[in-house]
Amino acid sequence: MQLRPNKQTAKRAATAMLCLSLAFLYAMGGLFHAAIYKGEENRLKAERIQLSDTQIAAQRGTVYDSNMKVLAKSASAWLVYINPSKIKTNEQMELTVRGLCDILGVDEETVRAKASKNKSGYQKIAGEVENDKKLELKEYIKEHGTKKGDLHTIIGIDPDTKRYYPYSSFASTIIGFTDSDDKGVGGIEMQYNDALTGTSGRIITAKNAKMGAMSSEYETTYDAKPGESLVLTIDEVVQYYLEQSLEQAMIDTGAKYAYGVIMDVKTGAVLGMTSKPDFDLNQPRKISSKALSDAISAMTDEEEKKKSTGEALFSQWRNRAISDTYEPGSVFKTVVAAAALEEGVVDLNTTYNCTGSIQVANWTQHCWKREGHGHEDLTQGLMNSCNPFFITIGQKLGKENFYKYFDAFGFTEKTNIDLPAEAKPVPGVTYHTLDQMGISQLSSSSFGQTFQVTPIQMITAINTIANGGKLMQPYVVDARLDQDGNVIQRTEPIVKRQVVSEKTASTVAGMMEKVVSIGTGKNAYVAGYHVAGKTGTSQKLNTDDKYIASFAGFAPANNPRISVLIAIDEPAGVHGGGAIAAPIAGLLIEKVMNYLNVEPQYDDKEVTTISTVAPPLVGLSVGDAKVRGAKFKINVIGNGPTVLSQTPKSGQQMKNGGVVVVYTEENAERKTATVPDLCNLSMTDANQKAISAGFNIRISGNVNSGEVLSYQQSLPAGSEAEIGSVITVNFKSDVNVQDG
Amino acid sequence: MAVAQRYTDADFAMFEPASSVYDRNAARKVNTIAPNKQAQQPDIRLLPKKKKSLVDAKLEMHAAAKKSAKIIGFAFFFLTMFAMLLYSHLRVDELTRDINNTNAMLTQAQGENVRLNMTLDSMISLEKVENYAKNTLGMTKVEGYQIEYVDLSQEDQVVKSGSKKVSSDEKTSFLQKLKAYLTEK
Repeated sequence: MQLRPNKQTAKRAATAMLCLSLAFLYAMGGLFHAAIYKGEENRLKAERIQLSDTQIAAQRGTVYDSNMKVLAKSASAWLVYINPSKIKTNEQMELTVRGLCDILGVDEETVRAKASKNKSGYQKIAGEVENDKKLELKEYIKEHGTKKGDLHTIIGIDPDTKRYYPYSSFASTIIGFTDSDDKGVGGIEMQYNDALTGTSGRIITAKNAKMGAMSSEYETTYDAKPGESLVLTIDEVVQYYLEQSLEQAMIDTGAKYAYGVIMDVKTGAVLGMTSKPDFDLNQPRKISSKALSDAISAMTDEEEKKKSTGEALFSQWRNRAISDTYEPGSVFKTVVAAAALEEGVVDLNTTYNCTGSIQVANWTQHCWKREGHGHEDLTQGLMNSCNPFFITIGQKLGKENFYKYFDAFGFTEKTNIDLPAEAKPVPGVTYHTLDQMGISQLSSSSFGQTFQVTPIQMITAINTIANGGKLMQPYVVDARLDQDGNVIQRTEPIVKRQVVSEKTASTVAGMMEKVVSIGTGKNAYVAGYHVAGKTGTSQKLNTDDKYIASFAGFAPANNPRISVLIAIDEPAGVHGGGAIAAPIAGLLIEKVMNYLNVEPQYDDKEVTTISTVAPPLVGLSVGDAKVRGAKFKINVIGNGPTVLSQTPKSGQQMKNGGVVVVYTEENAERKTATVPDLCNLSMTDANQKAISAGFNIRISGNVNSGEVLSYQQSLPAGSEAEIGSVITVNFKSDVNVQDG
Repeated sequence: MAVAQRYTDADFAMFEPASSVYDRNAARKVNTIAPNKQAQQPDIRLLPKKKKSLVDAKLEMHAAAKKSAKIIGFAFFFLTMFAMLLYSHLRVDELTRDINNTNAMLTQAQGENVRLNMTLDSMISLEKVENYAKNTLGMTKVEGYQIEYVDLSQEDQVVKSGSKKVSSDEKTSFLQKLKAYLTEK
């Protein structure tokens, strides 16, 4: 007989098995929940507990100018924070506030407010703190840490990075700046943020039971990849000249804004670009204009104050050369002339009789010269900036052709310059579309009114004429470098299209040279550099008495190297482009050409003007020197028989009848005199005044037009200089420089 | 009650094994539990203790000492290894800390270097240099007209010696010979 468990035993066994099964199922369920359902979460939790993950910040790339001068560079710095929950006594509060304010120079009220948040464990006080300040703060903490835990637990210091801009406001609107997270906010810093930032690294270390780091064998390091460095096309010297010129222009004209661009004709590389007023890159959130800053500080309404501060900051950060639009005015006539010549609608012999106005549909458009320019050919029409002539040319060209060239010169699209916030042309808003273009729109557009372009679009179009009809894409980053300085990418110039033929471009360039030599742009004339250009004056939209005066041109006209655009926004008083923008452009072109080692090529007339040079008198007897320098006033200093030195030196340009000082004794003391004020004088008067004071003058600017007045001199009035020195005096004319 | 009665009344005899089986088992048990003591008693004889010689004793002691030394040696070796391992870990940690500190110092020094360079650059910006040259030193910029251009476009020219003949076997003076001799390599 077989032995079998009784029912009760069986029941008990079944119950036990059920319990065990349930327990097993529960355990399996829990395991499934922990390992599969919440597996990822638990894995991360475990990693957090077992591993320490430290981020290694990648070094932000450096920004260089075209000569490898550092314009922006990052370095390690410190971040100071407090733990307000650890502040228990008033004494601790005072020590904390006092130390932070005195050492870091932060606002006491702000620190006190942050320190009062006693439920908070972290309040940032200051970032980008330099090492010397950090050491000072550490010393302070040590000094006041008499009781264990005092200040050490309240004030904390973490690693941080700081971006340095050594030249403060230099090229600020191009470079841009970074925020507290080291992210680019404007300019190149923003446009190339990803490339400059690099990739952060990590150190993953196993932690021991006491949460301390274990030895390096349990450590895995993923190195940070430093950001790429950028080499800009901006040339420090050219940029400096441009900024200096525009700053002076703002002072001289009382303008609200001024902006300018200098471009390499052949490549489209931007050599200089600025928008004034600008800001200090090291303190981007400080309003640069003191007057504006004071006015905002005086405001009592907090809301209004905040709003005004924001507006002022955005205004100073704005790169107006690419973000603002304006009516180009007469500068645009060069584009119309190029289109008409290309289409064969006009030629250089085409003539027009300007009576001072022209009837267009049911309105009369006046020329800026109400009495009219009379009979004129195409070149003269451009030189005179005659509105009726160009309205006629535009009408002859027809709206289809006009629009075709308007589009081809790049006015209906962004230039795609590698900078952020370039204004996008809006069809029907910033310009007339082909459908919208009636006779009135065509006529007004033909002399540069009723549509808007950005300064960068305008200079790119002018550059097209200078570059034999090839439209280039402007750019500001020339190369990208890796951390070892190897070039990883170089920008190749992009020819967008051939807009007009080389012949047409050359013809227009010749016409533009005439504009500068004897037309409205004569104040931009520079002897030897064959400047070509066009002036423009346009009324700002929806205003009665606000203008933008501009000049766009290039040099040398026969072999262009640079193209230049200067715009003076809302000048006070005189507002003509020929009167205020052209002289700035002329001086700027002269400086840049000298810097670029472009040799001046004088024509016959210019050679005659500059042919008077100081004679070589050194080594001659005093008698012979007087004979050789008969055309000059010889001033002998010393009792020696022979000329040992002379001022000015032999070969220096000067005017006939000027002073030559000869020294006949060795170690003779150089005689000095006070430099006279030579501004606002005619050429004759300036020369006389200079000679009377013992100096010579050299004339710069356009002297062909006769009615010129001096406006600038190389040696400042009132300074002491050696007698016989040559002072370069710049002349300009206010006659026949107006344009429409 | 009824259940108890049912069990009491039941005849379990039919489940019992036969009495002969009981008898057999009982006999087996008796044999197992009480074996015949007399038959199974082993013969116990004490062996005479062997007397160790001095040499044997010495050898034995030597072997024991050797064995102990071996154990101690192994223990010492393992302890040393363990200590060295600990020490190497400590050294690695120490060196890691040193490296980290040095790296931190290097980063700090590099940061300071950048800061100082930037400060230096800002002090010698074009604007500041120009202002200093103009206002403090009274200098003026070189202007374009002051630059003299030298025409180097002409090619190199050979100038003939004219009527003068240069002969290789021209007689040299004693002084020239001496000079040549002295400078000869």
